[in-house]
Amino acid sequence: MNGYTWDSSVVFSSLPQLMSGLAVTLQLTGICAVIGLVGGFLVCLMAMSRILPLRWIAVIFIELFRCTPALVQIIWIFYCVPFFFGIFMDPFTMAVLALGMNITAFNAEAYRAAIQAIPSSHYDACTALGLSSLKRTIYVILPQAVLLAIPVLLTNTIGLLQQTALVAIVAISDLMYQGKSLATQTYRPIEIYSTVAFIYFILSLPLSQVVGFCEKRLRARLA
Amino acid sequence: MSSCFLKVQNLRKSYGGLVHVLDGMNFQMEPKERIVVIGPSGSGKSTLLRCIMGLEKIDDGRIEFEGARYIEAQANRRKDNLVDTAVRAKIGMVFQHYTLFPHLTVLGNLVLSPIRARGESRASATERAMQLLKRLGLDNRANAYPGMLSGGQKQRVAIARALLLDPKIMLFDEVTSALDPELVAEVEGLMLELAEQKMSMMIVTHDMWFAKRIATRVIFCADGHIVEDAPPAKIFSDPAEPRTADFLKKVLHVDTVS
Ligand SMILES: Nc1ncnc2c1ncn2[C@@H]1O[C@H](COP(=O)(O)OP(=O)(O)O)[C@@H](O)[C@H]1O
Ligand SMILES: [Mg+2]
Repeated sequence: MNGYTWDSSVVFSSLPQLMSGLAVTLQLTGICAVIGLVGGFLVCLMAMSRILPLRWIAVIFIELFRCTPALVQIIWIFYCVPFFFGIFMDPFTMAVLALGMNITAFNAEAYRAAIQAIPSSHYDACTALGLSSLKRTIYVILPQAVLLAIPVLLTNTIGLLQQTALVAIVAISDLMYQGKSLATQTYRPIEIYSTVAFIYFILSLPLSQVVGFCEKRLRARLA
Repeated sequence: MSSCFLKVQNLRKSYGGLVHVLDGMNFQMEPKERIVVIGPSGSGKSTLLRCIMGLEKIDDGRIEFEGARYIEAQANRRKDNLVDTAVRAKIGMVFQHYTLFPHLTVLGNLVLSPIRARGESRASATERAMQLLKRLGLDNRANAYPGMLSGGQKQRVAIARALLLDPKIMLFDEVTSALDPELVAEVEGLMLELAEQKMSMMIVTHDMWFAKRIATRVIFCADGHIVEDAPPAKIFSDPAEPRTADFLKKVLHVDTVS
């Protein structure tokens, strides 16, 4: 390989620093995943509500975050939010804000698609069974929507884990950031970046297996 | 004026105000009657049942049930025209596509409404549901999810779910149309059992042999009107209206049901 010799000792000596970065990455992913699961549902309800202004706000929010690159969103929130709104927060909070809103928008769409996939005959059946619209939502529509949305929600969450790497660009000391600084310090980018890639892969793989499993189970259940 | 069981008066319904799917329908039904509604596709049979179930907003007319005002067209009401929602609870309906809730087990589907809409205790609802399932030979599927059932089983569960609410009348809208031919018999068999128990029913079906067997009365609809209303023996062997004869000839490929 062009005279470059692989040096495993670099990998081992970098591990502690990479692990501290991993902790930040996992923290960021966990917090934003929860924001996305809850926030996505609320935004979805807004987007489907009968109150027009609520609907507009939700739709604009969803489309803004779906139609711009996540990297641009992060940079914009870091540099432009303080400038336009005079809001100053610590970088980690900013990152949570950016990534959290991003996944909220995508999850809202997942929930919406799931609710729309429920056949209208189920609404009729609920009426025939004497369920009020509130009870219909709680006991029939919601549980089905969550079940139907699970594969997409999980896929979005895997995407979130990968996207947290983008916050390295605004100097948050996540896994990617630690990798980058180690690579420059040690002059060993091949070893370091391979290790970083491997860590992301190992984290995502079980999640994507879970998605496949869920899809199979759901297809059997909702047949 | 004697109060009758079900009375439909001058029922009009259109979608988008253009074509009148139901164009002034009138009929009365006595308890324990089993009316089979037949007619060409698009003649408004489903719409008629859906109006009686209170699923559609009607343009004109009224429906009475057991002498009580139930549905009346009201120009100034936005959503529906139910005069009395309590009346609706006496009516059960089964649809073509089962409409079982896939996230609930068979038992869960059955007890949902008794518990959540009627406030029955879980223990009592479960006991009644299990008794009913046992009667239908479905008690071993109580904890199965709908996705694991055959079409015939699904439709029988859907019927059981409606029956558990003790309806005074059952509406069946083409409940065997989505089934594989070999599964039709178990569902029709259950409906015949209900007939023996003197359940009042309105049934939309394309199965003329079944219609002949279960009906006490057959209504032939076309263009939003009742063209003919007669006992099955009469309508299938000697229809009074040429349109009825025409329709029956087409669906049966023979002159009469023998
Ligand atoms: N939700 C709807 N919106 C618009 N048109 C409808 C709707 N439901 C039914 N129709 C129309 O009304 C007519 C009667 O429908 P339906 O009652 O389903 O007939 P049938 O059950 O006799 O086949 C059909 O022409 C159908 O296209
Ligand atoms: Mg129909």
